[in-house]
Amino acid sequence: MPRNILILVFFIMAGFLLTLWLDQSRNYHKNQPQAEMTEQNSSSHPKIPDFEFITLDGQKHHIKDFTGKIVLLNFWATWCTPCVVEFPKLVDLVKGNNDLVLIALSSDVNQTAIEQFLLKQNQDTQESVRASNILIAKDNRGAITADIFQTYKLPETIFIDTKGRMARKIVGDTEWTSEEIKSFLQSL
Amino acid sequence: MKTKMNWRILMALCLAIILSITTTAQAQSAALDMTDFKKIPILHDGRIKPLDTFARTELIRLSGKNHFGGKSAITWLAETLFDPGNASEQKIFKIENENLRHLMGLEERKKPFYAFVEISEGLEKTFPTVEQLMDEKPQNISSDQKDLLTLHENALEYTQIMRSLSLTLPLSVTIPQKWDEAFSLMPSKTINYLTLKKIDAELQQEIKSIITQKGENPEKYTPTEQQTAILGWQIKMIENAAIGNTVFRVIPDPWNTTSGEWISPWEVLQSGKGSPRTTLYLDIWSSLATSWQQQDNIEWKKQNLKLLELSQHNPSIEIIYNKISPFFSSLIFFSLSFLLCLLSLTFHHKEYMTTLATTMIVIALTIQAGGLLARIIVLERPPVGTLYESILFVGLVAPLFATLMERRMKNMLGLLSAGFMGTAIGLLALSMADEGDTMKVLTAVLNTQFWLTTHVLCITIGYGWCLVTSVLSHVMLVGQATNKLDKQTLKNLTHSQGTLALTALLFTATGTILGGIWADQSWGRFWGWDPKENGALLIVLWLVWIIHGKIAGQFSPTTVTMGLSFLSVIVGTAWIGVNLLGVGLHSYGFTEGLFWGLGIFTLLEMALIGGLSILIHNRTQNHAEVSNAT
Repeated sequence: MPRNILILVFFIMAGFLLTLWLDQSRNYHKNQPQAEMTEQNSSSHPKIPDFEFITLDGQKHHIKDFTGKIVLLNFWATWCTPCVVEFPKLVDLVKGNNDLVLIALSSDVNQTAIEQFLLKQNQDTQESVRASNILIAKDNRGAITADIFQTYKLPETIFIDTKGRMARKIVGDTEWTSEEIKSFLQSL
Repeated sequence: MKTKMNWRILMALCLAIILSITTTAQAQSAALDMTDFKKIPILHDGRIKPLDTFARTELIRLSGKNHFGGKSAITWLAETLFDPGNASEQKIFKIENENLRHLMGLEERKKPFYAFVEISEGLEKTFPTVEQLMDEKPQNISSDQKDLLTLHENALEYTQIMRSLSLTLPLSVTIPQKWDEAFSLMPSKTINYLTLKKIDAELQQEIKSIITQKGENPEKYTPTEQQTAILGWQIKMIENAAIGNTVFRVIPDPWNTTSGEWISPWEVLQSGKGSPRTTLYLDIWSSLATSWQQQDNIEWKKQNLKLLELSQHNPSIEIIYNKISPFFSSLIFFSLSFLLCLLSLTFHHKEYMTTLATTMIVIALTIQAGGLLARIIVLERPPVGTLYESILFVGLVAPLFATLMERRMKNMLGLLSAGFMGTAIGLLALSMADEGDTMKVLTAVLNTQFWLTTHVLCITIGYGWCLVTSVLSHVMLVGQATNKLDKQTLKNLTHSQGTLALTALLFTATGTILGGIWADQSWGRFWGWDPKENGALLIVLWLVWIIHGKIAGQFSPTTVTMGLSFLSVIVGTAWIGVNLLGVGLHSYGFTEGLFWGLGIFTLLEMALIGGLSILIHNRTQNHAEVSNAT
C-alpha cells in the first residue's frame, strides 16, 4: 500500500510540475517584447495577389507596380452614399504625398457615371485626382472587387504596406484625416 | 436575442421561396465519402472543433440522437447544408411535450419527430407568445413555456444551418437574355448567389428603369422584364434570409489572424471581411456544393482535402474520440467486470473468471484514461473543468484505487468495487452527456492550468477515495448482514477501510485548503461560505467526525462502517448537490433530473444502510443469545 501511495504522489507531483511549466511557458509568450510581437504580426499579413486594372484614362496598371509605396485600395461606387462622402477626404489624405497611392476601384456599371461624379467635385479635388498617385478605375462586373477581394459592403479600403502586404481593412467610411489613420500610415 | 427572433418570421416566410430555387441533389448522399469532410474545422461554442463534433452536437440538440434515419450525424449535416430543400422535410425536431405539440397544432405520432415544414406554421402562430416570454423573468416561465422557447431557438439554429451555404449553392434561376452572355464569360461553372451578386448593381438599375417606365404592376412588364424583376427579388430574398447568419464559422477571420476569430460564409459578405483568402475558402465551398449536387465523389474528396490543407487544423484525435466513444466503451468493460466478479464470488473464486474480470477492469481503465488524455490534448487543459469532466475523472480514479486495493486484499472485493463504481459513475456521466458537446471552453477564472491541476485534481481525487471507502464499507455491511465474511476478512477490510478513510481525508482536506488559496488569488478572499466550499468542508468534517469517533472508541465498528458508507451521500451532495442551489460561484443551474436523482439516491442509501445495520444488529443479538444459552 505505501508503495501505491508513493506512486500516486509521484504522478501528482509530476502533474503539478508539468502544469507549472506549461503555465510559465504560456506567460513567457504573453510577455514577449512588444516590438517582436509587432514584427511577427506584420510578417503574418498576407501578400496582395497580382491583378491589373485600367484607369479612366485608359492606362493599364499592375498592383505590383506600386511595391515600395503605401497603397490605399479603395472599393467604391458613385451610387454608394458613404463612398461619395469619403471620396474627397481620401483624396485630401493622399494629395501631395508621393509615398502614398490611392487606387479607387469603382463598381459602377458605366464609366460615364464616374466621370460625371468627378466633374461634380470641387475644383481642388478635381485637380488633385489628376495627380500620378491617385488612380481611378472601373472594375468590370466585380472582376477584382468580388472575384479577388470578395468586397460587397462598399466602401471598403485595404491598406497595403511598402512590401505589398495587406495590413488592414476599413469597412465603411471613416475619418481619413484623423490622427489615428495618420499614425497607422506612418507605422507602415 | 429579440433581434434574432424578429428575423425568424422573415426567414420562415422566405425559406419556402428560397428553398424552391435551390437545386437538389439527384442521388443519395451515401455515395460521397465523409472521411475528410468530417475533419473540416469550425469555430463553435468558443473552440475549434471538427465538423463531426459540430454535427453530433447539433443533431443531439434537435433530435436527442447522434444519428438520423440510419445516417451518421456528418451525413445529416452535409445534407442540411447542401440540400436544404430536402432537409426542411426531414423529421428532425423531437417534441416530447404533449402540450407543446397541441399548441403547435401538430398531429400525434408514435415517435414525436416533426419536420421544419410541419412546425413552421406553429412557430409563426406562437411567435407573439415567445416575444412576451422573452421579457419574463426565468423563474416566472413554466416548463411548457420553456419548451416552447427551446423549440423556437432550435428552429432558428436549424434555419441558420440550412442557409449557411446559400450563397454558394447552385441555383436554378432564369437569367434574362441580356446577362446570359455575361455569365457564359464568367470563370464560375455554376450560377449561385455570389455570381448573381456581380450583376446585382446593373440588375437593380435595370429594375429601377422598368419601374420608372411602367410602374410597379408586373402584369404590364414584358416577359424579359418580368424575368429581370423576379431575379432581382430572388437575390434580395436570399440576402434577407441570411442576415445575422453566424452559426457556421468555417473561415478564419483574414483581417484579425491573432484573435483566433472565425467567421461564417455570410459574415464574409455582411461584415465586409472579404479578402483573397476568403475567396479561396468560398470557391472551395462552392465547388463542394457543386460536387454534392453532381454526386461527384472524386471532386468532393479533392475539394475537402484542399479545404483541410487551407485551414491547417488536424482534428484527428477528436475524430477518433468521437468514433470510439471511450467513456461508453469503458462503461461496457466496467459492467462486464462487475458481472464477472459477481459470478466469480458466487462460484467460489473460479480462477479464469478472476483473470477475466481483472483483464476487463484493466481494459476499462485504459480506455477511460485514453479518453481523458484525448480530452486533455484537444482542450489543452486538465480534464476537470466542468462537473461532467469531474465525473469522468472520478470514474477513472475511484475504480483505479479500488483495483489497487485488490492487490492488497486479493479477495475480489476490490475488483467488485471497481467494477461497480466504474459502472455507476459511467452511467451518471452518460446521462449528462446528452446535452451535446461535452468539451466546453472554461470561463477565464477557471482556465488557469496550475490551479486546475492542484486544487480541482486534488479534490476530485479525494472524491474518488471517498467513494472507494464508501463502496468498501457497503461491501462490509452486506457481508456482515449476510454473514458471508469471516473474521479474518472482516479484520483486513476494517484495516483497509481505515487507511482509505485517512487517504480520503488527506486529499479532500488538502484540496479544500488549495481551493481557498486559489479563491484568495482569484477573488481576493480565502473563504466565502460558497456552497461548494461548504460542501468540501462537509466531507472533511464528516470524515474527521467518523475517524475521531473510531479512534476515541465512541463509535462501534458497525457505526463507523455505516458512517463511512453514508460518505457516498455526503460526496454526492458536496459534488453535485450544491450546484443545484442556484447560488455561489460553482452554480451550474437547477437540473430537475439531477435533483430527483440525488434525492432518490439519498433515500435509497438511507434505507439500504439502515436496513443492513438492523440486520447486523439482529444477527449480533441472536448470536449473543445463542452464546449465552450454550
